[in-house]
Amino acid sequence: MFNVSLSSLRTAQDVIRLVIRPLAWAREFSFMPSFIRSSPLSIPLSISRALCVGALALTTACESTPRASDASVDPARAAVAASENPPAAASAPATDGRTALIWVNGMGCPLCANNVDSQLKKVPGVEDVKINLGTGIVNVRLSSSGPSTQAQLEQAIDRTGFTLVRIQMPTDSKSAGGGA
Amino acid sequence: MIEAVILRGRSRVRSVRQRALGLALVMLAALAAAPDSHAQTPVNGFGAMQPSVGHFTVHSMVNYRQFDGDETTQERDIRQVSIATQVSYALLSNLAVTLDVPVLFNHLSRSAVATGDSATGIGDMSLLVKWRPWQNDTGPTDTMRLVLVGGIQMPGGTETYWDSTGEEWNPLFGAIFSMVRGRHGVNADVIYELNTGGHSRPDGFRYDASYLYRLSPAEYGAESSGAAIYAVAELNGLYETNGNHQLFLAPGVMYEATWWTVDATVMIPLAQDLKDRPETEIAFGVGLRLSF
Repeated sequence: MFNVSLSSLRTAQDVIRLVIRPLAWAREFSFMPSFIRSSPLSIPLSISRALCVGALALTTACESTPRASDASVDPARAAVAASENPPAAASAPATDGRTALIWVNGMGCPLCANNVDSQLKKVPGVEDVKINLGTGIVNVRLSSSGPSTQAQLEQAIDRTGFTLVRIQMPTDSKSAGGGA
Repeated sequence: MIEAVILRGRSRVRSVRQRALGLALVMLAALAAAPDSHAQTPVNGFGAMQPSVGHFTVHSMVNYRQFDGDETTQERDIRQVSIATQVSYALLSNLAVTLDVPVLFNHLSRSAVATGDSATGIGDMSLLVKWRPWQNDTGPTDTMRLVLVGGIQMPGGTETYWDSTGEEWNPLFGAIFSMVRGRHGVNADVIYELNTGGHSRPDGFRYDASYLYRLSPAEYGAESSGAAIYAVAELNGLYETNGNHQLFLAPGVMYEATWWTVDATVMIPLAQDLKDRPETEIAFGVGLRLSF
């Protein structure tokens, strides 16, 4: 992220880029709520972004300062709407061959998400779990050697007490529904 | 001779205090034995949520209370610090048990008979079973849940200084409703405690209502699902069949991360009509909840 060579500092583009990158990184890194982490950074970040836009109007330099939530970082996340409560059966984001998507309703808080996370990680073959409370979509990264079955994932969601809406397995484009 | 009279006097004072303040501790224990889980659950009241199967939630809350305005002849002023710990465990996805153990530190700062007396002990414990017969999860964060509660309130032990129920085991039963809609959370509960100690002790009817507003994040997203801050407003009431009634307004704040929560609240008395014990002047508490 900070791999900026001295030669690249010759231009104003790279100087501004050097400023804006750690600010954007810091804003995304913090585990604190958004208003806490954005408050001390929002002003310099806004200024930096404005400078970036102004100074680089003729270039596309600003496009090279991605945020963690940008589509270039995670296409699966970017494909889902950022609204608070989109339709539960929203169109499925594209995934790779090892990620299962689970739509879950009723996860109203970070602790709820932790319940889902901990139950899914007990399932053999689950390598990683990422949860978006805004969309209710749970990204489950499966092992390539011994991936979990859909039934195992359904059972794990059932144990959380939340409502399973839909599961899309990586090798199966068809979705299967069921209430937990 | 004089020493014996003083000792007998102190003994009587302690005995009367135990009886009179016992009922207060029933309420305290009930108020402390509150939430055990998550999702916009209140600080003092109950929420219709629970841990996932096989997981624990531990909630410890340190409370400070001042009791004043004693209309009895004892004219007691009491300061109390309590540490109430609740441990919840989910047996099924819709069934959980909660054990509440309060530890009380009491100091009699003033009375008509004696001053400067202090005592420490375990208050009345409660064991509750929470069963959720109905839920309707209508959106990613939206849910409505109804929980039925049953349990028992147990005496804290023979050495307990502030033993509210003596040796009686009093059944508790009630219902809890919770609803979450986006940034808004509403909870309500009614709990009835049936005192088995005879006519000298009234039954207790507890009622709570709460509203929680998620201050941040305004919208959950892929990168903002790890923490939240809530503003809390609660009404906590207790009516007893002898005519006693207390109602508190409890504003507070709660910070929730993925596996821990910190909450704080102040209890401001709105209405108090107590005939046999001091009134609560003010109370506040800070709590920590762990999920594992």
